[in-house]
Parts: sequence; structure tokens; C-alpha cells
Amino acid sequence: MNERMDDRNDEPLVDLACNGQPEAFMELVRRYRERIFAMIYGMTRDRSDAEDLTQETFLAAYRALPRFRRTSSFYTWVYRIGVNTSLNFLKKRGREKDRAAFDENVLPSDRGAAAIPSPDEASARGELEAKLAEAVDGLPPLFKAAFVLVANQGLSHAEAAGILGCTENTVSWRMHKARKLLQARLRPFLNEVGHEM
Amino acid sequence: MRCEKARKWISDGLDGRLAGRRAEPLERHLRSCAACRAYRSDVSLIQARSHAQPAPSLTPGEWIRFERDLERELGRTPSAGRRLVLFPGIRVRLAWVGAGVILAGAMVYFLVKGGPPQLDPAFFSYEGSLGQIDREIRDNPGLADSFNRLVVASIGDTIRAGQSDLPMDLLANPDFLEGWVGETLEDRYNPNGPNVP
Amino acid sequence: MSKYIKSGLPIAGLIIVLGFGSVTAQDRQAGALQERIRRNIHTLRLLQMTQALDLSENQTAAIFPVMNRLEKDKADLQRQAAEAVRELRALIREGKAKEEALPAAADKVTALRREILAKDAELEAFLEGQLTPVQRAKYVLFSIDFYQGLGQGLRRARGPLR
Repeated sequence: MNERMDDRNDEPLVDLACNGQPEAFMELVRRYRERIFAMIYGMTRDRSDAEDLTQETFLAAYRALPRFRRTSSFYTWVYRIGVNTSLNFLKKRGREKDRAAFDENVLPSDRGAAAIPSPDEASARGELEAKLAEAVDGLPPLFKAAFVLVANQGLSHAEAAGILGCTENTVSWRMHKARKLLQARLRPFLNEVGHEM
Repeated sequence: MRCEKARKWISDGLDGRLAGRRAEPLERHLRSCAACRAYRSDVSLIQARSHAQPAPSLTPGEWIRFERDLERELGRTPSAGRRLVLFPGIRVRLAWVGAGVILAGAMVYFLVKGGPPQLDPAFFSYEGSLGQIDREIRDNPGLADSFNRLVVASIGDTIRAGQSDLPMDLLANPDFLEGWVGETLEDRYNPNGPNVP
Repeated sequence: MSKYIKSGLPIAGLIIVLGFGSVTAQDRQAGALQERIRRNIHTLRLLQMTQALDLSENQTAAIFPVMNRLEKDKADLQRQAAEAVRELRALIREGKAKEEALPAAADKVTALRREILAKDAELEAFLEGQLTPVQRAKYVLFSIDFYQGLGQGLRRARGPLR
């Protein structure tokens, strides 16, 4: 599963990076780039965007190093920066795109060009995961963030709450709402696929 | 148990947050509710498929390019080294001492002066707030109608924002809604729904 | 009495009754709208309070029923107070003829206002026992912001003429 978020083996490297040694910072980048990239990809569902945002995250972390108070591990801190960077990106993208409201009462066939294909087409394509990825991508940003962190990345509600800067109860409600929306949207395909567990 | 509450508990259960005393009532509900059983089946499948979704990574060549680009950006960024701070702990202590001095000075000032005047409780009360609104709309049906629409729109926005952590099962309770039996709050304040007040 | 006047009387009576009825119905309609507005404001307040204070599920389960009850009580008291104020105004208009009734009428209005304030105080005291210190502080600010927001909403509803 996931490594513990609170890993303090980075202290010496963080000290060196704080004292103006970028090579130490690059070593930290190498340690965590895959995990940060994976989380950001979970949020954006676009490889190219994920690469840019990962870079942006580490750059922001480097600039903010003098203000890193070490109340959490370096990894948790960068992870949080990555989540915020992704959320800001999604919100900006949401404002720029003419995105239809995610309405659990609207069946996919009602949505026009942006619709998920019908079950017949889906069975031709065959993959529930692709539909799931699209559906997660369509979630409102804060629900998506909670879902990606908890369901994709395997964080506990407490860890996700720490990252998102909210309470565990908030994360719990967002997970519930996210699942409700996903289930409503994916209902036709879940029936097609059946429930092999 | 209402289905909305059961589904929230199902979501909590998937994340390992269903305390023992909630499990039995939930199972009892599920024994008699086929819809919630189907819901649990659906979201469990979504959960399983979410975990199973591997995030793509960059190729080694792409990571090399990533590092090169990042290093170039770091080179443009002023050194992340900390400002040299002598005895950093003292700054925090000095800040607390300063705050204590200010607080002590304020206490002495108010003791001598006799304290701030008591806030008139009417400031926060119905008389001071809703009363004024009540008086104004009582004699102006047109204004009352416009104002009501604004309030209803605000309620709709709060619910539809998707970022509110609303205890929907409680708000959906007909006792809470004083006779709006059979309607959830979302139904009531959906401008596309039948019963906009 | 001429037969025309005699036959006209029931019709006139009907018109008067219907006219009075329509005025009463209009009053009732206005009253119903006011009631609806109060409930909507109360609902909005609960929703936004939950968000602003980040209330837990247990807290909302404890707080909401009490706030609902107090809101109903206050609405009742407000109706009585409005009626008492109307009576007081009527007495003032009638002047010396009803002067001895004035103190009692004024006392009634004052007593009802105090009861409304007491309901607010009851709510504050109840919330003190339910909220954390941080939530109590946020509640103070929330109350100010919420009612200011309502005032702004009223100004928007008035439109550009005022």
C-alpha cells in the first residue's frame, strides 16, 4: 500500500536544500516525483497537464522552502502543495470550459456531445475503468480531490483532511457525495459489467 | 433508517470508518432494502476499480527531461537558503512576550477605564436584524417576493455548490422541513423542480 | 323600500362580503409569504451556519431541532407582537377616548419584545454548551455576516430605484 506519509528521513536533505543547495532538493524530487505525479494525474487525468503541474509543484515547494515549518514531513508538505496546485488548475479549467453541471439525475444520454457513450458503445470499448476515469474527472473539484486521495491514493480520512485543510467529517461527506454521483453516472455500465469482485 | 443515511454509512464502511454500533443497524436495513443492497454493490465495485487503476508514469527519458527543465527553473530562482537567523527560538519567545505585554496593557487599560460597553443583545437578535426586514417587506408584496427569490436562490446555491458539508439526511427529515413530506431539500430548492417556494 | 333597492341589497351585501374577503385574503396571502420568507431565511441560516462553523453530524443532530423549535416560538411571538403593535397604534389614533387602555397595551408590546429577546438568549446559552470555543467565536462572526448579507439582499431586491 502507501508508504507512511510522515517519513522524516528527509531531514538532512531538507536542511541542505534550505541552506541553498539545489542538488539536495533535486534528490528530494527524485524520491517523490512518481507519487506526486500519480496523485496529480489522478486529479487531472491528463499526462501532459500532470507533468506540468508536477513541475509547478516542486518549483513552488522550492520557493517556499524558507517558510517550511516542519510541522509535517517534507513529503506531506509537498503533497499538499501538489493538491492545491491541482485544485487551482481544475477550478481555472472549470471556469474556462463550458462544463455541464454534474447532475446525478441526468442520464448520460441526455448530455449531448460531452456524454459518456451508451452501454452498447461502452461494451464495444469494454473498460469500466475508462468510464470510471471519465466520471471521476467530471466530479466537482473538491469532491474529486477527496475521492482521488482516499479511493485512488489510499489515504485515510485523517490524512486527506490534513492535506485538504478540512475536517475528517468534511472528507467523509465529500466521499459520500462523490460516490453517489459516480454511482448515478456509471449505473448503466455497472449493470453491464456485473459485480465480479 | 432512511436510505440516504444508510448510503452515507455504506460510504463510511468502504473507508473503514463504520464503528461497530453502526454496523448492525446498517445490516438490518440492508436485509430489507434491495435498492441499498444494489447501491452498496455498485459503490463497492467502483471502490475496487478505483484502487485497481494504476497511474501512468513518465518514461526514464521523460523523467530526465523533467529534471533538466526543473533544474533550469531552479537556477533562475533565487537560492532557497534560509535567512541566517540567530537563535531562532528567541524570536518566537520574544513574540509571545510581546503579545503578553500588549494583553496585560489592554487589561490594565480596561480595568481602569471600566471595560467596553456591553453589546446590546438586540444587536444580534431578531429585533435588530430580522425585525427590520420583516417591517420593510410587510407592506411591500413586490419587495417581499423579490427578496424571497433571492433567499431561495441562495439556498439553492449553497446546496448545489457541492462544497457544502450538509447533513442531507437530517435536512431531508420531514420533521425538520415542517411538513415538506417526501421532499428532500435538494428537490425543494432546485429551480427545475416542481416546488420552488 | 322600492323593489329595486330590495333586490339590490343581497347583491350589495355579496359585493361587500367579497370585497372584505378579498382584502382579508390579500392580508392572509401577504402573511403566508412573510411566513415563507422567515422559514427560508431560517433554512439558509442553518445551511450556512453548518458550513461556517464546520458542524459535525452529532452537533447538527443536537442543534437543529432546538433552533427549529426556538424559531417557531419566535415566529409565534412575532405574530403576537405585530398584532399588539397594531392594537397600540389603533388606541393612539382613537386618542383620549381609549387613553386608560394605553399602558396595558404598551406593556403587552414590551413584554412580547422581551420574550423574543429571551428566546435569542436561550439559543445563545444552548449553543454555548454545544460548540467548541473556536466555533463559538465563529458563530459570533457568522451572525454578524449573515444578517449583513440579508440586509444586502434586501437592498438588491429593492433594486436601483432606492
